[in-house]
Amino acid sequence: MTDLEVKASQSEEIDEVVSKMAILMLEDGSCFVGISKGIDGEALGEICFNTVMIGYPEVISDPSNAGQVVVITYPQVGNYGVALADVESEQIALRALVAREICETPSNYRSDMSLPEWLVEQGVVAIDGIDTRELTQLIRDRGSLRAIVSTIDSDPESLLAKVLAAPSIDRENLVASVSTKQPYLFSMNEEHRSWYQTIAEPRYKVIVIDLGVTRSILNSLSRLGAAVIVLPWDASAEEILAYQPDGVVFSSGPGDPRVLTSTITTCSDLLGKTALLGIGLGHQVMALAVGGGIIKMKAGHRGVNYPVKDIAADRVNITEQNHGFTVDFKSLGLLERPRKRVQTVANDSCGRIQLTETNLNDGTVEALLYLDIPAVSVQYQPQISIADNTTNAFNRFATMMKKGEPEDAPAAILTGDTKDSESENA
Amino acid sequence: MPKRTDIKKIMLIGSGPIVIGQACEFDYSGTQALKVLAEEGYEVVLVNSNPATIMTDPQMATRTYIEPLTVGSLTRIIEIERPDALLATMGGQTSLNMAVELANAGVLEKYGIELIGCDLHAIETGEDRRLFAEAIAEIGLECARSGYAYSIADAESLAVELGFPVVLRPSYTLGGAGSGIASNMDELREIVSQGLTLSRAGEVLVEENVIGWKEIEIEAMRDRKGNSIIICSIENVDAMGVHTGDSITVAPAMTLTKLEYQRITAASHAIMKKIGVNGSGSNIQFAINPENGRMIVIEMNPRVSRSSALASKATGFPIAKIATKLAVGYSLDEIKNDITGATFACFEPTIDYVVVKYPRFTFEKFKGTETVLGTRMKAVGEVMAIGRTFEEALGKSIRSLETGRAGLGADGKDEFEEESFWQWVSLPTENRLFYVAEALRRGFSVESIYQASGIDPWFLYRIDDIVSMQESLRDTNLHELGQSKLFAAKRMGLSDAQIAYLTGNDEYQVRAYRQAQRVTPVFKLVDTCAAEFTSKTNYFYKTYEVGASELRLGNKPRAIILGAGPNRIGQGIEFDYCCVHAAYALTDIGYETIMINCNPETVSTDYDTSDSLFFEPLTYEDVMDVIEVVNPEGVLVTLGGQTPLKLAQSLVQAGVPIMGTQPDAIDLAEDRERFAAMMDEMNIDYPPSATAASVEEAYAVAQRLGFPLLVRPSYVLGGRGMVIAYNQQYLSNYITEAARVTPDHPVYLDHFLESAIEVDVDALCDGHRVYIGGILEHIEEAGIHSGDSSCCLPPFSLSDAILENIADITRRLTLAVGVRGLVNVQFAIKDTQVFVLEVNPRASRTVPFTAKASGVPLAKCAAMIMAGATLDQLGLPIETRIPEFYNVKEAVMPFGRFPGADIILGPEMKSTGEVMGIGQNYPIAYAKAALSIDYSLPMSGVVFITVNDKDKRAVLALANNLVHLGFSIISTEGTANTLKAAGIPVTPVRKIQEESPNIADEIAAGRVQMMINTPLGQETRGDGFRLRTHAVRHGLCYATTLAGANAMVRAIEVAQRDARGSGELMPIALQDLDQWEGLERLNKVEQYDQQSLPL
Repeated sequence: MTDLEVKASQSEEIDEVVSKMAILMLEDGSCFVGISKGIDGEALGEICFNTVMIGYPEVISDPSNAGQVVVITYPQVGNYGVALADVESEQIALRALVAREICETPSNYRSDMSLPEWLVEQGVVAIDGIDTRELTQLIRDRGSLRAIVSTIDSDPESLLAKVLAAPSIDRENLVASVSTKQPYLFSMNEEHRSWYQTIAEPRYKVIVIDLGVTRSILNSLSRLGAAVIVLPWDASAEEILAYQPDGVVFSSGPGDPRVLTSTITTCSDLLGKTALLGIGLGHQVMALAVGGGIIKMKAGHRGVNYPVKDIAADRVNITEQNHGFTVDFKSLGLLERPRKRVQTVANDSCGRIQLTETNLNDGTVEALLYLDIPAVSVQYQPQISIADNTTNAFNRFATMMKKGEPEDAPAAILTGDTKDSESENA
Repeated sequence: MPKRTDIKKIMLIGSGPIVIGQACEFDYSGTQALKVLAEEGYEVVLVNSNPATIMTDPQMATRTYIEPLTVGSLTRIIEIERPDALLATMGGQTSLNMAVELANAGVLEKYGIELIGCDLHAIETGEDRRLFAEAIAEIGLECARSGYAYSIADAESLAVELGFPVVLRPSYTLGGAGSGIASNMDELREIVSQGLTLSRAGEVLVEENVIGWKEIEIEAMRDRKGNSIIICSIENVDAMGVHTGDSITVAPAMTLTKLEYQRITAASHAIMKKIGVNGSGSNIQFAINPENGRMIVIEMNPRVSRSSALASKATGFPIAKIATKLAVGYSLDEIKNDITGATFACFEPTIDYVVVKYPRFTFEKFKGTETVLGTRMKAVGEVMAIGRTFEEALGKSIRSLETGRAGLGADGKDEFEEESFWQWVSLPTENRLFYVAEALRRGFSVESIYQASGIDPWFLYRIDDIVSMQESLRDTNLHELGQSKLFAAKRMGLSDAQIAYLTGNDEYQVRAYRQAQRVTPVFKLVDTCAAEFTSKTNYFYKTYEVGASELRLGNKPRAIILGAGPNRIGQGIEFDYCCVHAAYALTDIGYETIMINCNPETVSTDYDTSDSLFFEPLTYEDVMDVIEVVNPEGVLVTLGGQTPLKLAQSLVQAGVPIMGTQPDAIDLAEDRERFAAMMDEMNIDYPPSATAASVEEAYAVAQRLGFPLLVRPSYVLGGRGMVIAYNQQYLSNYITEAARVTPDHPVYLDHFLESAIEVDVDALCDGHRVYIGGILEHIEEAGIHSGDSSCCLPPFSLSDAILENIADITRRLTLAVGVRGLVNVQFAIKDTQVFVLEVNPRASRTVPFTAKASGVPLAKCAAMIMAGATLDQLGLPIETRIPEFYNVKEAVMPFGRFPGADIILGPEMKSTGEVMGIGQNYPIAYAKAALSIDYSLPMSGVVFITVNDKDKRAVLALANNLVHLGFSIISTEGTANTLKAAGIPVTPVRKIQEESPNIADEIAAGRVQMMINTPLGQETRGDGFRLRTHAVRHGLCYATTLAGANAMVRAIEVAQRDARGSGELMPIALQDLDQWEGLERLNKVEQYDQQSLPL
């Protein structure tokens, strides 16, 4: 106990400021003492780290983090405040935020409020003053652990008991907690509209199944030329097809896809009936819908710097990722002609599935192309690409949707996605 | 895409001498490139005129040429070596320029040489303002909007289009003359009308004003497949308007939202693709309007740069190394990340700490020059600091600078000019941040300081936090602070010295209390990935964290090498060279080597130079923190110049074992009284000297010793503030004004040996025997700082008897002082009498040059001796062997960067770097050295000669030679009369202060090719001063000493003959000279007996 008190006293930055102590307790008994930077209360979840340096509001508001206690590895968080136009969802879904230092006096012309103000407004428990590097190493080495952050209980014994009593989030349907309850028509906010210079009239009608969709995905679809209708996670195939969509997107989202039985069924029902795009959790749902398997990863991929190899194009793109599960490619079917550089399996329900992209470092599945039905899925967060990159997931999806309208390249260069363009230098 | 097998031999061009804007970062990049090319099995031909580099060590390349970086010289080397490819992206702008010139001269085509790493078109588009702006516009981005005006009406309409304020820059004026910012039509008309007259082309660039915008740099790489990655973003604390090399910068960018950052990175990828970067690193600069986010592309460099060296050290991602691999054909996804050993180089580093770079200036050396920072770089070096927060890193960076500051104020050194206080808050100068901190301390708002300075409020808030912490400690009782308060202060980056000042203690008391309170630092790893993967590289930084240290130590005995800190004048790359050699040598003989340094430009701070790297300030506190956890067998303090030497005594007092020469021996050599007594006892001559603690005492001393006198304050080193006084008047001015002599701060007065020849000796000593590494004869006479004078090895004018005498004195003194390692002895030879000027029991600035010239790696040998080896064990070649070639070292001066400062040489060092020339005789070697310096030796034309009375007789032979070489001579009255009397044809010209047309007009009109002007003593602000400043402004070739002028004329003679086909300037490869091979054998000796360590 004395060590704990020592740590606690060390973390009080300046004596005069009465800082509220907070404690982070992991299920293995590791205990970290810091300062509360959010609301009073306590929150239980599964701990994970994210290596983002620029983009904390997006990570914090990403519904994929539902159920998670998120550690930001970059030590100074909140420097440019929060621009509400940029948040990925209206309601923060993560359970608690852990940081080395959260900034209360930010600076940026787009900032609406400071990060602590936003966290309080959103009712989030947050703790700073933590040696996040040591914590990250612990998570890296031991894998996902249950964790509690509390500002109201300073008794480690009691906190550890609470963590150990908490159910694993693996069995929770986190998607239901973040998905929209009602269908709605998405409209890009004014600020992003002017930022992306989006003026093109919609050419496609796209249904997004909201498994925890982000504003980034919806923006990208809009910029692709889609009128976007967002439906709840448990929408049935009949409901979806009633909209007569050009394509359906299964969005990214939190947790284990295996709990989403109705979504998986819906997806099965849609196979071959319309163009499908799976992103993140949606990519895993599609794999399950064709009878594939899912594996839980030790520490997951959470950050903005993951190299993904496009095998056919022999190119690497740096991607944003936020997932703790991965698709088991071999479970999707029998490997065809195994010597080929680009691997393909034969699947009973949908024909051939090709492994088009893998993670350069650990070889995990990053993108699948369904060769016999109009469907494509990616594990990472795809970015819109200009014109001629046919291997980009959004472009592939657009090609699969009905054609015929005049080509009207949706993205101007200033929108920020000129990166993975043609490979003329290959 | 594996490596290319169609090329076998690659030529690499270095960046030449260290100059402002091009420092040892290119030794770092070049050394990395050479290592990669050797590993990949290529033959490499290296050309670089700078001998003080690791890259020019003969074992680094297949063929090493220390030769001028000119088209002529490079063409000759190409003819000899016939390389298949040229890699020109590792040697800065110099190397890139040479590639362009070689291509334009048709040399590359003629010999079928492929430019790898970057193509010509990309270089051209990157550099040509208009081409670049067009390319940027084509991909939908913007450069600063601008247009050229040829009349006032043009300018008016452009200003209407761009909106006020506008920046006005007349084309083709020197040093930005006539530039200005106009906020309204009246100002515009005034500046433009003046500018149109000033501009030779009658052209004024009217540009939108982006001063005060955020400045962001991106370091990125792109391979031949088109994979492109962002390595690092860097945000400048100083807003647009200050050269990025002069700005305090932070990595990663702090105040950009993701949307803004994505736009910058997307633009970076697009620009690299558009410009044609296919297999290289690239630096791209952006300006962001902080009010609305508008983004402007400033420039891009398709090569490694100072910023890429910084980004490499900041992230652990070795840009130059990877860029070299890309240049020979690999793609990013084929290269392993050797920090983690597990992941690939094709990723974007993410970091979990904050990096601050702080520039180092030396304005005190260039009195009279503008000290406000602008768009032309003036910093001579930089430091980098790593902390978990900006606050911590900023504090560390300031104490790394070695400007005597212990942090951002609150160290008892704050001095503010009250009457212009607010001006110093707003104007960018080297001390602005101290004014900013003080303004916050005085209660000014962040907003008002932001408005004045343009420094983003985020940085100001952080500084405010630091200041608040300082103020909360002020006048408190140290022993009542307690653990939590102390911990919080350390986390804010406060040094022990600051806490000591604030609480009225000394640093040692604070340290003791801090340790008693268990407030001790931990060491964290730089690993490119924020701990996502395990890392095997021992690259550490110190921080105050709640968690644990990541330190890992091996079982071998450990040796700590203290580096040289930031580059500044007097302390440069030469010392880094020595530290790197020590690391190599000690690793070879079985030590675990640990480097502590804070200079991001260097080879020593490459993570694979030593077994462990600690990127830390070289202060007592920071060094002791490392020593206490590492527990070394010994610490090397004599290789990094003054920086580590200053720490030696306090380290010994703390019980730290020092390897090699002990601090007491250092003290003996530096304590003038002890040293003089020793020399008296040994019957060794030295110039009579005395100490004076008051003006009266000084007069008495002057009376006794006689003028001229060499005068220096006691409290500075490296020649700072040193002058030669020729008379009582000058002495009294100096003592009362400049030196401010007090009993605590006496001045030293030495009798100055006029017209003496100065000699430097570099030697090794193992305590029993002395090995003379080299005797260097200075070309300029005594009185010029040894770092600024050119010198020749072997001596060209000294008799065997004198040389034997010099060697004998060196041996006796070195043994008597008790040197173990390197020693440098300086002599003055007056007539035939040998005087000792000083003994420096440490590595000297000339060690790399001497090592190159003699073929003996002195620094490596020194490290081995410090580890216990004897000279007998080393088995070095005999000292008296006569080198086959003459070697000349010439200093490179930065005067072009400091308009307004005088260019005369004196006892205070002013040069930034050096070049080397190797030839069959002394004039050839000197000619090569002269050709290696930026200015070109004139082959014909007009020489302007004006010399002081002392030199009038001696100038006759020189003038006569010039006439024979085909030059015509112009002179002002006095010198002209002397020449006329001697029958030498001369045209008189009016003095600079006389009416036009005078000599200034002749120079301005380009009718003068060379100037010989010798001043007498320290005349300042006189005609001579104006004349020399004028000559520098016009880039004239000049000499300010007769000895220098003579050497230059003989060099011209050689160059003329060579141009007629004599072949005297033929390039010589180091591998063709005598190289001592003995170390190979020695390295195989497992380890020295630890008992013999001289601890």
